Amino acid sequence: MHKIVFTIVILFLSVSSAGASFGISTDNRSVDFGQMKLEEEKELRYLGDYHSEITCTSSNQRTWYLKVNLLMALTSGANTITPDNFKWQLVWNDGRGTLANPYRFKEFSFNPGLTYISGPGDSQGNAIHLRFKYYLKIPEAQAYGIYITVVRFTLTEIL
Amino acid sequence: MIFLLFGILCGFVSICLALEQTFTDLPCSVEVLPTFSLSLDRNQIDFGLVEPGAAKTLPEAGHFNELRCRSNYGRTWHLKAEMLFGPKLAGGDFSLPLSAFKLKVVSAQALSEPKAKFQFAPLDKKSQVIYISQSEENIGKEVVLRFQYQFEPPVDAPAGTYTGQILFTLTDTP
Repeated sequence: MHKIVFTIVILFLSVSSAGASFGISTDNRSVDFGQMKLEEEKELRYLGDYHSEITCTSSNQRTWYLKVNLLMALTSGANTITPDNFKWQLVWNDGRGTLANPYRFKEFSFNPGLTYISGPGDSQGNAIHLRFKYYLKIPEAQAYGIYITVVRFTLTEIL
Repeated sequence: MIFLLFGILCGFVSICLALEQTFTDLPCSVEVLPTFSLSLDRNQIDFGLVEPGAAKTLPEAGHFNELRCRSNYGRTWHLKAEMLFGPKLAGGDFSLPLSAFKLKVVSAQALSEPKAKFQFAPLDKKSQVIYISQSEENIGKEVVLRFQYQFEPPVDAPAGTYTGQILFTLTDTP
């Protein structure tokens, strides 16, 4: 009996460490809007129709989700640009999943917002590429200065 | 012993089935440019012919010109006006009293009340504050003031052409 249980434990150990991959990476291009005037609007598309490429890989054979959020508002000292002025759009992907917000800009929020739901064949260890562009409008009342924040992309199996 | 091994087994099963999550971050930045501007859409005021002792208003209804102020320096700003010279008789040293020329703010897009709103007031040779910004106006919300002007030469004013110059100043200093 002990031998059987031991064998099962070894079997699970081998399953849990059998080269599973689950990762996310970017092209590391910062989301830099440069200089903007009051009330100016700008679409950030460094490479023609997109700015950032996110690469997601999973071999877990389970549905995964790509989410995006801001860690804080665009901030310069005590001043902030409210997130409703800052938007993202998923413009292209080579997966077989579903876009959560097809082909239109969506406002950033501090809570992770769904951008993509993986489809059949997206969780077999192959890299799925997703391309994003960004939009920013400077409000009519906004103190001058350099504003910074962090955009976070989260690859998760939790909806 | 069996229970212990079963517990270990369940632990491994839950590890195998645990839902995964990971993330990556991108830095984001923008530089909002400074603005400190004052503009006037019409800067030539011509009253035409005016009878001595009679007041002429430009225009009779509505506004003659529009002044726009904007700053996003994050500080209170002041709009000032002064009569640089005049109303002075052309070709001589004679000037009419300052009270012969007046202005009035007929409408405003502003968060507080401008001076000379709805009533004609003369300008001084020293600059006077017409408007003081507040709250969102200190960080870029535009203030628009619309003016009417009035010229009333005294009954004993010598005939001739009178000229003058008004200076509007946008400044951080009170």
